[in-house]
Amino acid sequence: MKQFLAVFKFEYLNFIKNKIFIFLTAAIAVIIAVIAFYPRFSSSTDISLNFGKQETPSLLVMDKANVIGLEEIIKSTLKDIDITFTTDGDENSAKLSVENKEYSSAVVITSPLEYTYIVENLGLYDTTEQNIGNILLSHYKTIELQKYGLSMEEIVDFSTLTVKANSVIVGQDQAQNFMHAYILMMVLYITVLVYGQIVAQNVANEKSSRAMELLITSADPKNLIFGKVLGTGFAGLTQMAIILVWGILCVAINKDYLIDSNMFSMFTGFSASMIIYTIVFFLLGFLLYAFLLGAMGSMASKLEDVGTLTMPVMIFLIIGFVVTISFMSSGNIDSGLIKILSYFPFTSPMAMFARISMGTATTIQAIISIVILIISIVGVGYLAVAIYRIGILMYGKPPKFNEIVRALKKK
Amino acid sequence: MALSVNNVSKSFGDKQVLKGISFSCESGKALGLLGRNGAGKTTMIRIIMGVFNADNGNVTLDGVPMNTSNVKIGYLPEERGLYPKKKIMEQLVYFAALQGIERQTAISNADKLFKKLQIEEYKNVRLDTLSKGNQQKVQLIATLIANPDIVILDEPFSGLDPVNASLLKDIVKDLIADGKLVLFSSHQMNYIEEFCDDILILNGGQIVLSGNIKNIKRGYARNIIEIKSEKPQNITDALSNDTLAFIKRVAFEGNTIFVTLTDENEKNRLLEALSTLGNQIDEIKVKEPTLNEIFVQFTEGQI
Repeated sequence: MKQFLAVFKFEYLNFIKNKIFIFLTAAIAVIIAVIAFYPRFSSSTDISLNFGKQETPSLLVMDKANVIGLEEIIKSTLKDIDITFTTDGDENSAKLSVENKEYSSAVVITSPLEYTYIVENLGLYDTTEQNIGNILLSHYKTIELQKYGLSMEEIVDFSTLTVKANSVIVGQDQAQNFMHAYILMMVLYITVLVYGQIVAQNVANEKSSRAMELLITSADPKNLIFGKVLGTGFAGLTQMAIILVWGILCVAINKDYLIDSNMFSMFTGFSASMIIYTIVFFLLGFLLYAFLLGAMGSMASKLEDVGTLTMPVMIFLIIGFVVTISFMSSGNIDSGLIKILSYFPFTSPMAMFARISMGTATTIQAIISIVILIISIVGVGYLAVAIYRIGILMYGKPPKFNEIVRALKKK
Repeated sequence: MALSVNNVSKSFGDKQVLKGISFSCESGKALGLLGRNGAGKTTMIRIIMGVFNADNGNVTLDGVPMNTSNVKIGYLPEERGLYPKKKIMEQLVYFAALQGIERQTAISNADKLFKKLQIEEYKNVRLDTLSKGNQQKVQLIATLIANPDIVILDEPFSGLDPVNASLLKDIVKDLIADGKLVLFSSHQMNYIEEFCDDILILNGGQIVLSGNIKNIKRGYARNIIEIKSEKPQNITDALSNDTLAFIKRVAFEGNTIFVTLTDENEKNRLLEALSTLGNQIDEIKVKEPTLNEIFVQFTEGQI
């Protein structure tokens, strides 16, 4: 126990004192602070991350159909755009002026309900085309309805009718939870990936620097790998805790400025149970993967071998992540495959987590999944110690899978 | 205490690395462990340290099977290994902690060794900033920091300059004088002869020779006499006389004449034959094999 604690402390402090670790944590903290403090110092409550100055777009409207009153209505509706209205020219001249960058875009109206939109590059969020279409349609409707003797007021009343919708969510609000689950899934995946890989690399490092020669003769391999895995895991938790506390603090300070922000709902309102599940699944998922990755690292003689050796293990993590994310996006979080994956230990940290936060997984199901995970960790832990014992004294080219199995059987 | 290795065998896969090894050594003495590369020395050491279990046989300490958690063993591996990127004192304290030594004790033990090895100024720098010789000294501190009862030194002198080597020699002599049990493995025979009363030579996983160095040497035929002289030709001529039937062969190399007698009890008659040449002789002695020659004789041609 004393020996385990010595390894645990050494590995944990290694991380906490590591410059890259400190830098990364600080960098994430700064990013959170920027997001949280931005609205306080900017006029807009919404964060639109525009890099560089954006020019006001200009639009050439070429009305070849001579629609009555169109100029006024377009200019009054599209206030953010610098509009030039003309009845002269044709489609080619409009094209030419866009190509020559005289205007950002151009609309050639050929009949009251038909137009051509000319733009150099169609942006992802360019809504000009739709806006013009809507304006033309409603303007046409207004004119036609006036012909039937309706007054302007009556027409406006009709066209602004809305349906008042009230929805009551009895179960889970998947839309609201999607963002939360997505963010926490990302955190889970990245931390397991990064910290697991670090465990493997540290083991390989000790081997290639031959510090292992001394470690193995001074300590029980069981204590070495358990101390290393848990020490690294707690360093990960420490980092998450620092970021979490910092995030809560930043949001709390800027609560009044953030309340209307889109970002606010994205980064706040995590329920306590979600946070607890995140920590539980991080720890368990990390332990499962870190044991295996540590064992794989023990078979590498050089750092370059680590990637090849850990790949088969990483594949499980990546598949678990990709499948879970795609089920989350499809909204069909309770279908067959994801149910199976939520009990399979290598994918359950992500799949069950997603089902809990988005789907309808019950507490009992969550507990069953967690118990399976814990049993698997114990099994994988023992397997990892066995591989580690063999691996750390093996030099030369990394062993093949069947060689490992044979060596394990002999034990 | 007395360490005893009893009929230990070990195989890796199809390869039998150790084939029934037995030997023993005791506190206050150094045992020289010799063998060519791949002879099984490191495997033997690892079995003693409990890293591997023996397939057959066992290791006992004072008659009871050895439990490595009850006895402190200091090990200087042939493949030097510490953390290159970590501060020296920090990792020394860690290695001591693994052996159950408290931080304060570890630091004070290390301080003494730093002083003894004259590298006090490097306590708190990264290991990889040190020269090879100094790194080796740090490795030795890691070996001795827990004040072990058994010290295993695998090639401790490689890469050290003569000044550092003599520094290390003093430390090894102190260890023996302090009553430590020292296992010493090296290919530099002069060091072995300097520290070890007993040796064992491993070859092909078996002990091909073991025992007290002096006795081993005395065990060789003592019928070759070595004579040193400024005028070797004169002496050679005088002895190359057919009437001296007890002389089998005379030859010289440089200033040294080698006289092979038919029997080692013919030395009196040789001295009589040399009686008139006494003034020309600088030195006369029985030629003993060097440890090097013995080693080569027992390990040549096979592993």
